Amino acid sequence: MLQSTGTTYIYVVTTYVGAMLGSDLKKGSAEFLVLSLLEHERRHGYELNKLIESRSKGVLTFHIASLYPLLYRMEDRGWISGRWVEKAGERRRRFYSITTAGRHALDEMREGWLEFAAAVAQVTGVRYG
Amino acid sequence: MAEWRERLRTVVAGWALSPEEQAAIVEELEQHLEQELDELRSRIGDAAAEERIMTQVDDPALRDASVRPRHEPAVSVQSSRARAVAGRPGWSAFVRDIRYGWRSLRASPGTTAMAVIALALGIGLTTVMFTIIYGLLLRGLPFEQSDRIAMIMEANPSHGEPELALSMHDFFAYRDAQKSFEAFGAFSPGVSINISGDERPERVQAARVTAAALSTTRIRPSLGRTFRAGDEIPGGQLVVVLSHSLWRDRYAADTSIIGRAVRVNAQPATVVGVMPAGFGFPNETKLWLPLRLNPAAVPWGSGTHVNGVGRLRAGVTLAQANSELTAIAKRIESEHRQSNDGVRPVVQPFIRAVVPSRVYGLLYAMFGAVALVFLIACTNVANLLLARTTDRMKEVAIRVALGASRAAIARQFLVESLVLSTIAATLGGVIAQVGIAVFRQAISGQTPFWTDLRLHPQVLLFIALAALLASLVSGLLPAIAAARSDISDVLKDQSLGSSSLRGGKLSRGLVVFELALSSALLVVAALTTKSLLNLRSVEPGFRTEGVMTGRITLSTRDTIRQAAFFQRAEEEIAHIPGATAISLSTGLPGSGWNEGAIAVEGRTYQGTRRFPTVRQLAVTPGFFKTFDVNISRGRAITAEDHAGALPVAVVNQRFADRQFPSGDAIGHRINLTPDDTVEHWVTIVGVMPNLYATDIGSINRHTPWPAEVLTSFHQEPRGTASIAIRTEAEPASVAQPLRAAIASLDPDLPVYSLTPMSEVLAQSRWDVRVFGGLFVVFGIVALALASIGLYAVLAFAVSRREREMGIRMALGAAALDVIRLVVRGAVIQLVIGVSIGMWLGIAAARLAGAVLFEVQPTDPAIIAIVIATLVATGLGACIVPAVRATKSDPVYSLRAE
Repeated sequence: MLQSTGTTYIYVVTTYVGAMLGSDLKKGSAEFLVLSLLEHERRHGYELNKLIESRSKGVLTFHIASLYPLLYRMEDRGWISGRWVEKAGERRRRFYSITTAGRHALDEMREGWLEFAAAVAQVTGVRYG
Repeated sequence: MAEWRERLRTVVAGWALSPEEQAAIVEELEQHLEQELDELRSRIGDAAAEERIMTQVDDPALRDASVRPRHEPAVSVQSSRARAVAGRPGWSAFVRDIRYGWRSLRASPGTTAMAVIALALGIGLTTVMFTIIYGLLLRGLPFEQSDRIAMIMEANPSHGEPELALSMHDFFAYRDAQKSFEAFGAFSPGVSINISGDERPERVQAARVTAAALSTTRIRPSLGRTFRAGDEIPGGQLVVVLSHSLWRDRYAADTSIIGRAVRVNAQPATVVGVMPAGFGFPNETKLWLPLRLNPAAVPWGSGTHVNGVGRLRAGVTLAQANSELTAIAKRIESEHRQSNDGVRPVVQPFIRAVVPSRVYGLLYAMFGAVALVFLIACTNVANLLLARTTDRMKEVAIRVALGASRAAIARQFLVESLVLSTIAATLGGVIAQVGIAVFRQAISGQTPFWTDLRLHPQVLLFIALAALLASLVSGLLPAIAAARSDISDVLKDQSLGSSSLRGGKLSRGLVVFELALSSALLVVAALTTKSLLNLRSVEPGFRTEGVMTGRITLSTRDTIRQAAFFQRAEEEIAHIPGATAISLSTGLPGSGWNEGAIAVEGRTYQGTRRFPTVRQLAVTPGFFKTFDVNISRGRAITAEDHAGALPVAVVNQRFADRQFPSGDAIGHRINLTPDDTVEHWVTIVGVMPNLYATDIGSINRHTPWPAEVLTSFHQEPRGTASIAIRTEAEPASVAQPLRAAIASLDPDLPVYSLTPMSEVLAQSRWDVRVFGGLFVVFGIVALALASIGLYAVLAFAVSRREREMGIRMALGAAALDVIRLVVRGAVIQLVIGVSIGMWLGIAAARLAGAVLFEVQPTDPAIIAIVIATLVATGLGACIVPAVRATKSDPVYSLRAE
């Protein structure tokens, strides 16, 4: 879980770099977040939203306008696949699970993120490890 | 319908999708918003919650979102359990972890290389020892269902006799009455014969066997036949079966060998068969003769004694066979109490019966030692990986924060360790191959025929299991440490020192463990090194340079003819050009002594076990000049001590000190056969220095300087003699003249074991050299691993405290203070680890007593050297990084904050 210092860290990085690189980085981060949350378990859209919000302590939030189009685009790319699932006694819900291509993409994103974070740390003087 | 629902449908209707797709998207978004509305209502009230939802629906981004048509898969009905199952990592996760682990290892080549080398050494050495044990003890005889072949001996526990050969009467009784064995035969152990004929006479290892004994192996001859019942009848025509190597080397693999006439111990014989290559049953046999027994000719229990061998019937166990034979033995005992009182059969697996217990003990002790090396290597790697883990805690923290489960983190580290172990196992296999080749060379000719030292499939499986175990042992701690760490602390913590604390405790514990094991191994290695040095520098008390030796065994049992032959042989050999002194004796000094009990005249002894034991050798007068043995008191054995003269003896100083501590031994009489009804008294005429005598059997194993008695060779009948020729020329130059001299007396008599005396002594303690050498290798490897491990861990720990040292120096601490701080921590680990290790090492040295020569397990000099070596290594390991740390700029260290 990200604590206050981590919040500052990520927030600073996001806004500072976002001013330089625009929405691409934010969009890339969002896909990264979604793929990570789907890595071990399939989830539906609301659950994804709540997890991102709770684990980031409210720093990162999605509305349906950004979340679902994102999910549908990731489906088109073949990174995730959505299925309607009916459980006994419940309404059907649409669950998303990660695909093999999505796992590969996740691996690359992780590496890229770590390299990026290390590079930023080098520049800003924050000790990364 | 709520307004937001209407609005949502309107927005989605504006997307270029089919009505079905629109309906599905609306359903999905409605579910999301319903849940969010429920949650918001409880927090901010209905109105505010509705407003929030409406804001989302009215978001222009939603209206403008470009959503392409999708192919909607079928609805699946699943339980909640299936949902969890679907998320479980499978094969693809494992492959991914392998790829990730490989990249991670490549990123730190130095650490990876050290870890691979450490594990490879551990796995390689362990594999060598396992190969030896497997090839010698576990694999079994190279015959079909060899575990069904048993050796049948006897024992008489009430008389203190744990191992007896079978009398031929007992053998026939067992054979005729038993039902447990499908084949029940016998063989005479330790037979050597002279073979002659067209070629030069030769001495070969032979076996007298019954036809049934060979049939237990189910091996058919490659040429001709083996023995039939008719071949075993005493007095019949003598037939022989040759081994493949004898047929190849002596008879040039002549395929018409069957029916060839040869001479065995000067008797005519006919070759009837040749066995396949590699067959040497029962023990390195080159030639087989039929075992001819005539039990009717002697009283029960007398005459030839044999070893029984049988193949168990299907379904019969060793215990069942033993029970059956025990019942038969009791019937024999009731009928022949005088000879068989208390005699019971002992049925055991063939190899277990043939290989001495002390060899089993020694090999398993060595396996224990090498397992310690393996453990040290794993501990070393665990420490290295733990240090890397501490370095990677930020990475781990971010992965967990982004959704990776702790099980996945732990799995990743374990897989990384498995990749490391797999590489190390491959290298370890190469090390094992080299080690086995070297060992095979070192023990060439010393192992039984069934020994097969190579990388069998079972050994390869062992390597795989060792690699798996290594990966678990070395990877488990870092995996647990990574998975259990507090992520929030790690992410908050910018200081490296505090996050290394948890890893530091584990690391220090591992270092202590490693030091303890290494100390133990080093103690044993140092003791065996000293043993080897002692062995090399031992002054045997007799001459070894410039002496050629050989051995002859007469075919005749006529003692008069034997005595006459040896008289002529002594004269003939003395005339060999270049011979300055010659000797005939029952054995060679160093390894050829016989063991026997004696009784001093005038003394009483309680029971047979109270008689002192001595080493005995019968020698001709030339012995003393040949081997430079000087008499210190009295006289040597001379030509006057011939057959018919007063039987005399020369004793060594140890004998004199033990038996006559306050007087002179000369003039006293001793009985050399106190157990026998026929007494053999000799008079002591001289005292000589102690002569080096290696261990024989299991008595007096721990002293190479036992009590010794020399008697006159010509005063006792015998059929075998060791010949020694002293010469100023090269010893090998008298070998051919010696053969010629003996051949002139008896053309059928071979001279065998032609070896310079210096080599005889070297060969006699090959086991100490080979196994002692292995211990030294283990000890050196253990020291190297412990040193590397200690250095790496201490260097890492010091580097993690660089900032702390910077602060201290900025506040005025001297470099020496900082160094002292680092060293103090290391010394504590050293003291604990080495203390435990010394205790373990001394205990282990007692178990490895078979390879120690004239050195005590608690040798103070050795203990001191080992402690000094480890302390020096440990101090060196921490001083270097400590000094480096004091040289860094404190301001730079502090700037990291």
